[in-house]
Amino acid sequence: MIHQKNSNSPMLYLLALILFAFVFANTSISNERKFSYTYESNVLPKRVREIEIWNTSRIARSYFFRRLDQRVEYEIGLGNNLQTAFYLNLTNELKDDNGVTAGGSISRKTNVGFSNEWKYKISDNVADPIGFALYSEFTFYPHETEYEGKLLFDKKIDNTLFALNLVYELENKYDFKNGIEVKSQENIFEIDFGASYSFTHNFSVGLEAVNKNSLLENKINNSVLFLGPSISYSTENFWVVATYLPQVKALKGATSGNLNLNSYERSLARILFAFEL
Amino acid sequence: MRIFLILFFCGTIFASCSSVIPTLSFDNVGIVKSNYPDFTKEDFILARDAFITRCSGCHNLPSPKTHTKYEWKALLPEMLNDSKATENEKELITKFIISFSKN
Repeated sequence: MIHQKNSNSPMLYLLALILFAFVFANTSISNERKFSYTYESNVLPKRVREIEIWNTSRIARSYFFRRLDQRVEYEIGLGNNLQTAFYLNLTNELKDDNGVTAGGSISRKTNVGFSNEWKYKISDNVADPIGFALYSEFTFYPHETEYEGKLLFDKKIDNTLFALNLVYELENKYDFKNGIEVKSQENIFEIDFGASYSFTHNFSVGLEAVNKNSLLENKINNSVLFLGPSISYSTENFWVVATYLPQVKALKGATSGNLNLNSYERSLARILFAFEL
Repeated sequence: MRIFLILFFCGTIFASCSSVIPTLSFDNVGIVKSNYPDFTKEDFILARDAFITRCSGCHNLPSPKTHTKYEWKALLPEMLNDSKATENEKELITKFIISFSKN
């Protein structure tokens, strides 16, 4: 049995936005990234605008679970080391609605949301001893609001770029059960690390690690480590970066061998594609 | 994850010993002045700042020594246009990079 909770109209919005972006794109290089999960400290110069298209797949838990997150980001450099961005978010999730309890049916959920990001660069990863930027993002879905704050550190040494992010995320979820509105809150702390080596000025290969921690009453409830390769390529027309991150270890809260497959996926994969307007 | 943090901070401390982007000094201003006699200390500060702000928006900063002045003269105009730099910034950045380019 399949529960269709939303129509396909969000996909039409997404396609329309991508088509609009292509029509107005020119042929210049933009703020290229070497990682798809770990952020770098650089920001767009004043008046420079960019479109980024995100696709993230989250596949396989201890029960049937498949999810695709898609985002279209419009990024603008405001000058004075400040940039902002607006996102249209679309998520598609297919899963066993009983979760880890056997005997469920398959449910499908589609959600559309909006995000706004602000990034302020304080120091540069080449000119200064260390690159550093502050990052803040607010996301709104009808059933959920998220606030995300990040400290972004990075350093380029010769052809190698190192980046480290410390991330805090607060999620408020809203549900309606038996005529009563139910609100729940989740606190997440995440550490992202990436190292990437540039073989040429436009081709890099690297490694990314993502450590996700969920907090309950200020203590770490679950902690998992994802680790995998990333690859990036840029031309004068566009840049693209892709990362594959299998879960390698549950540091706390293992459910299947040394992994946590009740709350997290067996593997994550993300591809970003971007061009300047 | 602790090992990543240790590696990151050790690496960056090691790297912080020197910058590949020339910093403000009497000698460095003199190098630019030898090519462009009107270039002042204030121009140096503006040029370095514009180089960092405009160029790092599209890619990690390269050392000026990665290319010769002839290569930079061919590369810079298009990139500076893409970065939406002002005419004054374009002139300062070009003088700054060319003065410290590979011989």
